[in-house]
Amino acid sequence: MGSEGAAADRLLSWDRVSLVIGLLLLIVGHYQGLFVAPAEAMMGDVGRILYVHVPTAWACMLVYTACFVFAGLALWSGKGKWDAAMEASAEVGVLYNALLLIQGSLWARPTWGVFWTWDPRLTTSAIVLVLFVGVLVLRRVITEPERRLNLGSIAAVLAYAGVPIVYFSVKWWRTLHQPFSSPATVSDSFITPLRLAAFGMIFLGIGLIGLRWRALRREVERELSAPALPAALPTLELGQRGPGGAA
Amino acid sequence: MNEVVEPVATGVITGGWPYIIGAYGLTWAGLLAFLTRAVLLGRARPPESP
Amino acid sequence: MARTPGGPADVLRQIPMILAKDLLIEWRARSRAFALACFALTLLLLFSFAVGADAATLRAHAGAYLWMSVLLSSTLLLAQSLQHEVEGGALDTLTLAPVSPAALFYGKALANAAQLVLLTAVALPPVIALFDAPVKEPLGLLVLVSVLGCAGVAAPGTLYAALTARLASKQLLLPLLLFPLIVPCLLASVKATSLLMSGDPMGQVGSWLGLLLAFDVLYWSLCGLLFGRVIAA
Repeated sequence: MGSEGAAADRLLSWDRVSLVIGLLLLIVGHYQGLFVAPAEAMMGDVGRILYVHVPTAWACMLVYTACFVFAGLALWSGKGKWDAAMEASAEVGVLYNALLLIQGSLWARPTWGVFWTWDPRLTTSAIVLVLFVGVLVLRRVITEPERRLNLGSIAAVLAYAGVPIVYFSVKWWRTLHQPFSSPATVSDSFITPLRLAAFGMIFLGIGLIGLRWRALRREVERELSAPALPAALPTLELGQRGPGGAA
Repeated sequence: MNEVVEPVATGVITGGWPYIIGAYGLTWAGLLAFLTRAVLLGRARPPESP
Repeated sequence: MARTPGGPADVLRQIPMILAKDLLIEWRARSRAFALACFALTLLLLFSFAVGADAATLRAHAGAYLWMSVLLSSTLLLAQSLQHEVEGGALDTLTLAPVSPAALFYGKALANAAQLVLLTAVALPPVIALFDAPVKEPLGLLVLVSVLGCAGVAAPGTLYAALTARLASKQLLLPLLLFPLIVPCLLASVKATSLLMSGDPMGQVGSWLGLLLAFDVLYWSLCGLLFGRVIAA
């Protein structure tokens, strides 16, 4: 871990590289989407929100998936680094998710005349946002690092496992037909900015997760290795029987 | 099962630039704010206890 | 022989014991259950006042009011279910005893589900009377919806109650974590109940029952697996 720590402080670390690539791709993608790509046939210029909205949605899904994987790794290994990665990706997921809802509302208003529709995707993303905000709040509230690792990761696993069933229930509950054109059927002038922005959001997400991971990991690993606070002593004694490290 | 909400607009939507600028602007504002926060929190080193 | 907890036979043997223990505790404190039922009924009245005295609107949403009052009361019930264990330090004792965590979870979750079904049964007649919403389809189907719906609330509810039991802000965190998670369960229960009350000519109840069943299977298995980690932490 020592060598990793040294590499972390080098100027060209993977998260900084990813961050810069992401920002550049996003700038080029958004520039093309705003000024180069032609206006959408039905939605006119409002259709340009597509180039910021859809990439955010894809990246958000990927970030939440990463969060689920990290939570599983944290539960399985009991290691602080996965715990920190879980929190970092949950933070970025919540950020993307909140941006997604804002973009969706700003798209819905000129298109349908309302800020909110009970579209399954929109509604699901709102519920998932609340779920992962709950995970972050839970982590803030727990002070003992081992319990925070276990309980936070369990909440994240449960939240992620619920996403498909939330989606299907809302879909059955209210079906709103949203005439999205799939990327396979639209012309290149639409695809290029969409792809650029999508990879931009993904690389940016990786960079942001890495940046937060580094800071959180220092804290979490320091707390996990530090002698427990007096208030946490009873737990530590029980811990001799094996929780935390369990697997 | 439920009423199906059809898009209200029937013709080509014109204008809407305030919404477009809002969507892009708020997205960038959010991303840059998070980035700034992440950088600041990353700089603030806790006292090392080796 | 029974020294190694965790075998399937042991778990199956222990679940009824935990269930009986919890139900006995609740029976001894039945004045609390009575208060909870009164709370659920108060909520039903509040919904009517908030919506207004329009009989048609109230009747159309009777299923929603029933489930919302059960749901809002459920957090109180769920939080109580682990209060004894945490306050008396009994949870540590239970985990030291040769009781498998899975048995502890399923026993507690079954006890909570049973109490929620009872609460639904108590709240149903007032719903029918207050909102003039008689049940048009077979009552057995409504019992099935209520059992599956309450089971859907009880499984993640028991896990989250254990997860938040020792936190200072548990009253805030339990509903914050639980409510968004059980949205599918609430949707399916309300839809199915409303269909059973207003009549179901299209035969749609079946698909909602299927959704409830899928939700129950997912969370009863997942929460049973994770409960051990929650109480060990």
